[in-house]
Amino acid sequence: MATSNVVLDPTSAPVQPPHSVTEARIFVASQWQLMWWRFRKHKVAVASSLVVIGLYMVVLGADFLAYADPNASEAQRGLMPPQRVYWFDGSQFGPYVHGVKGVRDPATFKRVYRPDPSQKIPLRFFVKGFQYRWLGVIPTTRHLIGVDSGGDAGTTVFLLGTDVQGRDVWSRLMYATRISLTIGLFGVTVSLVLGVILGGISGFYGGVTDTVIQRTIEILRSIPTIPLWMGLAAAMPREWSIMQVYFAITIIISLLGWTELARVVRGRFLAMREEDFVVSARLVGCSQMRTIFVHMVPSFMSHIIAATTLALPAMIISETALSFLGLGLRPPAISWGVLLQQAQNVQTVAISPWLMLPAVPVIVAVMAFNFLGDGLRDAADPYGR
Amino acid sequence: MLAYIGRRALLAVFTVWAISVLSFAIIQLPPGDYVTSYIAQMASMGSVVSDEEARNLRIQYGLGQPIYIQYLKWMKLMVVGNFGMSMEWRRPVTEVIGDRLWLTVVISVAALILTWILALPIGIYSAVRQYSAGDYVATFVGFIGLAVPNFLLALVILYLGFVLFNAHIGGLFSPEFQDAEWSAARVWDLCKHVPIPALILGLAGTAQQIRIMRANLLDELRKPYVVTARSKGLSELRVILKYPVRMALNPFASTIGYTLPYIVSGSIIVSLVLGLPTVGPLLLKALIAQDMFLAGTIVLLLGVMTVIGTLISDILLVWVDPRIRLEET
Amino acid sequence: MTAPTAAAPLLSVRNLKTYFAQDEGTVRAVDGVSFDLSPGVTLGVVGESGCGKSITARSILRIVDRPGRIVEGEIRFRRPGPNGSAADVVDLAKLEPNSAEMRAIRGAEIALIFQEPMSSFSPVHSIGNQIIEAIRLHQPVGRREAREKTIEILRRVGVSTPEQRVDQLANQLSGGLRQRAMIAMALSCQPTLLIADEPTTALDVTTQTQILELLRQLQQEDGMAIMLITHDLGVVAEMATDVVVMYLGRVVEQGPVDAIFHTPRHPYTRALLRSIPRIRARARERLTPIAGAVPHPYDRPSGCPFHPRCAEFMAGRCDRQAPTLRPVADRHAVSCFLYE
Repeated sequence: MATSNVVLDPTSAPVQPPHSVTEARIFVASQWQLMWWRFRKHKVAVASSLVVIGLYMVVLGADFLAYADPNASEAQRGLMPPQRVYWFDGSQFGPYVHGVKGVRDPATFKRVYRPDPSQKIPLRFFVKGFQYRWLGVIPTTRHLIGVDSGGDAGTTVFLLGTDVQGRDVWSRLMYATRISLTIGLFGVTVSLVLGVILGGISGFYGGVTDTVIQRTIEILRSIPTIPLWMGLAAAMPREWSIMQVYFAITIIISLLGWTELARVVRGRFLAMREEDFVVSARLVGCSQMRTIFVHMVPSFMSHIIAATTLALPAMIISETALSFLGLGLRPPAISWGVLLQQAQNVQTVAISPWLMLPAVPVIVAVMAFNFLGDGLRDAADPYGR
Repeated sequence: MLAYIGRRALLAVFTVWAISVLSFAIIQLPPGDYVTSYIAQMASMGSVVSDEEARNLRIQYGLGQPIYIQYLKWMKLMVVGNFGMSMEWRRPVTEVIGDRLWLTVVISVAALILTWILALPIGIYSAVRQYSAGDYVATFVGFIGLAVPNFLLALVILYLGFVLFNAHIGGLFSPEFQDAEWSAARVWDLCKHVPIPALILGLAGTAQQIRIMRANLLDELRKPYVVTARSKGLSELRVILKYPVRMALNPFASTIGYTLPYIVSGSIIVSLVLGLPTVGPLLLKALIAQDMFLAGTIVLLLGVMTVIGTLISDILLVWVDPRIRLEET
Repeated sequence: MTAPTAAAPLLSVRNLKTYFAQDEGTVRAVDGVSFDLSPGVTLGVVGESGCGKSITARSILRIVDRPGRIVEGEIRFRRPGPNGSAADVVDLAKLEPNSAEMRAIRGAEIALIFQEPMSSFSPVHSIGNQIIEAIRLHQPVGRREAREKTIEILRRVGVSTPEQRVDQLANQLSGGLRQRAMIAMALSCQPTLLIADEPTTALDVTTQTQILELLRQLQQEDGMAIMLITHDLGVVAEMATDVVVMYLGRVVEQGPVDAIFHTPRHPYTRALLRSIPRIRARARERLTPIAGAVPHPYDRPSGCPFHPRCAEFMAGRCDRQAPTLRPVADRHAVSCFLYE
């Protein structure tokens, strides 16, 4: 055999290739840290999460951000276009709007609004306006923006114009955001509970239970949802209060929406049942409960979070659609769908396109939740590719 | 394979049953029973319903009896084609629905086909030319479809059409064909009007399918059998179409089944916005007017239509994936 | 085995460089590889995982996945001229991967067989379908004739009852049969060069022997050249006429198989040979692994790529410059400063 002048010392430790600092950290990171790191790389998802946080800030501070009572209608101010904000008064920073004069157009007898340059109404911040209770507890009259003279018809500001009944669109939009985003939360919670329980049972026990639940899910998925919702929503008694209608709508939407979450949960359980770590947990002597909650559940928590986030936009769209049709929430409740109901007619919209503005937060919210959910889903498998 | 189809058909039957129960619930939920409202309606028109008639109607609809008997009676009536009377229109429900159900079928199927025609090539292109300009454009359009609810999209398109082109985009027929009899010319007119509603309806589904196709294909493109195919000297196009696309089609095909209910659902609202003479606007009016037999029947028929469509798609899936066929033999 | 003739080489690779441009850096998968392959010869290409053997094979066939590209080098392939006239040498590196000319060569004149036959066959098409496809792609035959040819070639590689097997799916065949089917597919157009990328690694030892025997037999019958890529030195010893030893994308030593096994020059080759467990070793004798591990692709050592693990490392020389391949004996070349 070949001779060599060098004797390799068999007792010397093999040289370890130097790990980069990053690699070393990865070895000891927890599941959540890994998930966070992967999530962070997905810039769009991070941006979306900021948007979502922003939206929920609006939910908390809806009263603060609004400056006009959302239900104060004044027919005289109906269908006013959005007012242009001028940011600099001369060379100083001082936002103001022009006053508006209502003039009856002699030809069409329609009321037409023209900005009145002679009137300069300065916008102030942290202004005193109508009273409300912040978080339902603290009474205050402070609002983010507003106008000094409290509510005189000719000298109020309408950032996004008014609707048919003269109500300020901006303020109504703030309150609508609150309702539309929270109804989604309740609905998703109900779906989550139903989905996890039924999906978990289905996946963990398998067999006949699984088949039955699976078939039920398939049946529910094959049913076109909107006609069903419309029917159920229309069947609700007219005498019910807004709150009752609100919750009933939530329950109706969730009753058909839990299927997606159940499928995710079931899929995870099925995949995990065969995993070695579950088998070894049982072999070591863990009870079934312990195996499920201590060993299996943490593995798919991240998937559940992702699936839940993705289920939210569906809820929001459902409620918006139902209210848009007039079958969901009804005035005086305010939601995006209720606001959009005024925009149903092309003729109306052609003349007052600002009535379509509530569509913007819907689209933004749906996109943000979708991107966020996508990012979470990608990050949910930190050990995957 | 037959066993598989048989199972799916059985499931379809169960689904139809579930839908019928739910439709019946819709019919029954509002307070008051059908006959009292019928009598009141007739009275408001000035005609009187005799006691005899009222009694007969009660027996026919099984009112006053336990609910499952009512349900069975309703089912029996439906099987012979008697779907009840529409109170608002004072005509049999079948007459009121008339063509509308078929038109709903037409635009739903058109939307489905459009979804396929668009999603498949775009999804394939996106996967093969990942990160290219075309990929980003496709992803962007896909996101619009996903993020903008179809009725809002319809609204925006209507608005733009009206404002920019001064055109009325809504409707499925030109004014002269609106109430005309069916003829070749009318069919052609319909075809000219279908693309825009079909596109609006199908866009969300298309976006979804593009993403699925892209993800599936990306997975398959990495696999060894693609390299083998290439190493034989096949052109790149044939390599992609014959092998990974074929594999990626399987999960893709199985999603059609669930796109159809979504499209049918969406057609309700979109028809409302666009003013299409389909079942949607009729359903809404019926619900608001509490014309429950009309509403319930529409819900039921929509459901049945969807289930049939889903069953057809399941059969298609079996045709596409020979492994299911083999499992059964 | 007769000594290889001095015939003009079938395949002549010169300074091939295939790089992958990634976000984190450029991976130099193949970094200046040169070798010749003559007709009827089996060339064993040996090295650890990640040394660039497979990428070399794929570069020859121009099926390197994006973002890999051939940045430099020549791959001169001798093709038989039309109607038996003088041969034509074409530089495969200059051809467009998807061009008609390259595709005519790929599969017909140069064929490739893979390590894992299960995943290398399409799961939804029958074996026959895939072999017939290869035949009809390169030969002007009808379906019936192609099918008959397929059955013939399946029989030739030792697949029993080929008339039935031809319609089966890959998952219905055993591992050994699958590999035979893959060989059949590769040989269906009578290539002059067969590249076998770890053909026996996924098989058990008995099947391994059978497949190698089959390859040798087919080579004798058809006179084709084989480029046998493997990390298994035993396979090389048994099958190869010439050997190329690769490390980190470079050829560190090449020569006739006897020379490599009996007089290895490069420290890496020596270490590889030393690390093979010997049947005649004393009981409980320690194995001698090669110290260290293959460096991270983005972390290439400067100078000679092997120097961090080399027992004969010369500071100041080996870490500054990279050695070049130089002849040390008849047809035996080494890339090491020890011999410069």
